[in-house]
Amino acid sequence: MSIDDPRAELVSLLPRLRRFAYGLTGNAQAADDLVQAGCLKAIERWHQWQPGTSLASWMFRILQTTWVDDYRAHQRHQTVADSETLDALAGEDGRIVVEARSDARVVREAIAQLPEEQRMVLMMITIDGLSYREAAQALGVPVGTVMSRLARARGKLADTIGVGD
Amino acid sequence: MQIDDETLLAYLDAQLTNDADYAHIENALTADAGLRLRLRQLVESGVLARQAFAAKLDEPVPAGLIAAIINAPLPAPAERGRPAPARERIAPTSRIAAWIRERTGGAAAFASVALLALGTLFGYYLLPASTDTTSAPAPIARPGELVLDAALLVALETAPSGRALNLGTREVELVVSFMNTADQFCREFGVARRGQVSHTELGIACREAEARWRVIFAASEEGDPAAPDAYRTASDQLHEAANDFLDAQVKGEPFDPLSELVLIGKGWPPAFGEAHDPAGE
Repeated sequence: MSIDDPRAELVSLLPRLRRFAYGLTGNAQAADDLVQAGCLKAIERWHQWQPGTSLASWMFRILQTTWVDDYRAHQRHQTVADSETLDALAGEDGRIVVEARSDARVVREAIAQLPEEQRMVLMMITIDGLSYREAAQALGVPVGTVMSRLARARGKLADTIGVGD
Repeated sequence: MQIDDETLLAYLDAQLTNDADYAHIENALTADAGLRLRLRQLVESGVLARQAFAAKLDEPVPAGLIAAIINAPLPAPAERGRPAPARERIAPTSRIAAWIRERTGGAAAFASVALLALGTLFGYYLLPASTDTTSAPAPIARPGELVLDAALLVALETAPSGRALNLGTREVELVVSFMNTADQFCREFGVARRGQVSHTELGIACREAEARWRVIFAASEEGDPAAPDAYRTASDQLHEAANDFLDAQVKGEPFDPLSELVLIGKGWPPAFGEAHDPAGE
């Protein structure tokens, strides 16, 4: 593979794509299926990506539309069922204290309960660190819309899990 | 003035557009304990959210997922809408690789993607056993003759298959090693040259006593950008000729990379050929 082989670029993004997809689907297997489908789509449409723009936000957009168009309907019941027990992260090992693990689980559960459009913005900005503008490009909405969705998501999260005293 | 979550978050995420906005919020935070509490809630819930997904980022990516992407076919250059990246190296189409594929029906065990791709771009013509070549540079090897080119000789003797050796204007790549029906070690090789026209030779040489290598098969191709399909029929004929040739020459399976390394390390020992046992020394 040469340096500008899309496959090499996508492989280097995989950890971030998997994290985003996991937040979207709430299910590790569905997340990896989604990432694979999204990457194959991206390779087919590689000419549409504009070098110099954020590859991550372009990929998030593909993952999001693939999820909405192709996967969500088939996964919905499963996602609801899984959200009760949001599957244990494979990377967690026995050394992680139980309290931290359950905290992470509670937080993921709270995020899973957010409306999907808020959850996507949260995953892109708060979890992944995209700028508001990049997230707006990825979602195809104005920056103002991104800001209000993020504020609603973060507000609910702060109310649910924020430390108040 | 009331400062809402949206503004506080833009402040936290450093997404406010001008310095005056930051100063305004910082003044408000100094004056308003409730606002400070809200900021703290937003900060801490954000930290928790990141921590909740941190393990996912650190988790090893499943090998199957990486393989699915690495092995995905790239769209044809015409569909990509911009010029294909410059080929990093030039290499001949491997006749023996095609032969192996046809015999086994299996994967392209010895052919790289680059080797396969080039085959459709150029035609082949067989090099006569002795000839005056008119246009192309003199071939590096002719059938029936010993290999005298020092670089090719060293490559035949010591280079593992699959590694291209860049020799300035030329590039030599060993393709595969096998034993012929006369129990000689043979190696398929390619030599590519860059010049006014790209010129690529493909050959098979077999090892004789005292580390001499004799060419038993040679073919050549030239790039002709004006008529990339002109030689397709000839290429098919050559393909059949090459397969017939290999049918008659190859004994058993080509050597796997490890066996080949052992052979190179031992200097292509005759005993190996008879016993076919790398440990039998």
